[in-house]
Amino acid sequence: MDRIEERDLIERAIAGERQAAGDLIRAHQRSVYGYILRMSGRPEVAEDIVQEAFVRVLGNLHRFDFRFRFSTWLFTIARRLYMNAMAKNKPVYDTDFVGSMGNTNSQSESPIYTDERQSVQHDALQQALLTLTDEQREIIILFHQLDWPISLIASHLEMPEGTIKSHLHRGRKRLRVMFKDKTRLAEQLAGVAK
Amino acid sequence: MKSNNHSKRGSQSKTHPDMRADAPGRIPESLIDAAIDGELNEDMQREIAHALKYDPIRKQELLDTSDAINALQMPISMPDFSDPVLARADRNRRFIPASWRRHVRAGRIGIAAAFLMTLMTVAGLQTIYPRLTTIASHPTPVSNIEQAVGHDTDRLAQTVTNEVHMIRASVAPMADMLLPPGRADHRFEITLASTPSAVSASGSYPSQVRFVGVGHGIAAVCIDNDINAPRARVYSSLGLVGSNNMQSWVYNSRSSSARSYEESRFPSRTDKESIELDVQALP
Repeated sequence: MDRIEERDLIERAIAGERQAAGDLIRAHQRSVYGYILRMSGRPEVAEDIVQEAFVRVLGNLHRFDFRFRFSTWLFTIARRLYMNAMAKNKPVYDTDFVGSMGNTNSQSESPIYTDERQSVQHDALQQALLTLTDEQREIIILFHQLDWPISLIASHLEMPEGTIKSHLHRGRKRLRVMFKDKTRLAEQLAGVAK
Repeated sequence: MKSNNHSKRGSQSKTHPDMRADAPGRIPESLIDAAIDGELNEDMQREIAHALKYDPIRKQELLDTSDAINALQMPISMPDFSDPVLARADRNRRFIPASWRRHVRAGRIGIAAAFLMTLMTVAGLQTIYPRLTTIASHPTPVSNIEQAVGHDTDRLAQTVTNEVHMIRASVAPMADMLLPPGRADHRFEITLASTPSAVSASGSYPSQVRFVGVGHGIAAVCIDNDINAPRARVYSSLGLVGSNNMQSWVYNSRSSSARSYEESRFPSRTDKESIELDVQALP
């Protein structure tokens, strides 16, 4: 969605058009849900936070400054909600969720885990992400999953770009090692199970 | 891999300083990171791709990294949030159907215009016909203040009189409890009798009042038939003090002098006695 189209949706939603508000939610829900899910590792936490973030965004839509990106604003709100939720209750990484992902009521455009290897990889990825620090995990998700540029991540996290790169490189190195190990282990377990 | 998405970020055209042609051994890790971050141009990427053929360790690391990044970009399952979010938003702020939005907007503008028109009409009428928009039809000047104050005073006095009568009626059953302290065996009886002249002066002065007291403390009798009758109040204030000697005063409150009272002394009584006191006409 380009910014002109997005601005039109926002203005119509501010004017009270329900359909526009729904379109706005559907346009951004996947990215913000993926962001919070990868950060928290728990789908129920991600669902609560994403829902609350959208409710707050719609409630304050008239205050949105069109000079900025809507997604940045949404992610900032979602991130604050996530940080508050984590401060109250330290999350437990839910790796069981990964195995059940393929059986959930999916509404994505592409098929989820069409083969067993994808499921194993996803499981290994979640476990590998858990081994990273919060900063490394968040920066890797924003950069590699959501395709945010370094400058935007630095602005979003209020860190210098050099610090962002440092976290990114260290986190990516650790993710590479842990992901390989977890994948190998999961494949061995799968082989034993067969 | 990210290098495809961000190949335009880099602007280097020369060979990277870490990429030494004369030492083709291990490719620096920072260079691999720069390539993944998309900070190298296409020429540099081609150079690294060529060098990776001779650096199997870096090549394997790069492939492993690519696997992890590809796993990150796999689609995830998620519910549709639009319905629950809109349902919650509806509780705070109703979304109006598109067909109704124009009518609602026109209605709001109409109400605001009508309110403004009303204000402007009233303001115009106020300028042209000041009397038309005056709430009271005639001015109400303050007059006859003296008479009004007199009426208010009379009403207040009547209210106080009623309250006094009510208090007296409520206290009457407890008269025995209000007897003055003193010796229980010292009983006396006082009879007040007024003279014809006093009765004529007060107008409503009782011809005779009987008071029975116990002990030798202070007994006070105040006869005021009607506090709103000034003449009666003047002549009816009577105090009796009983100790060894029974004394009585009839006090003329009209006089400004404290000496203008008559005093009658009575001998000490130890038994039940009957005392008759004549209330004289006051000067």
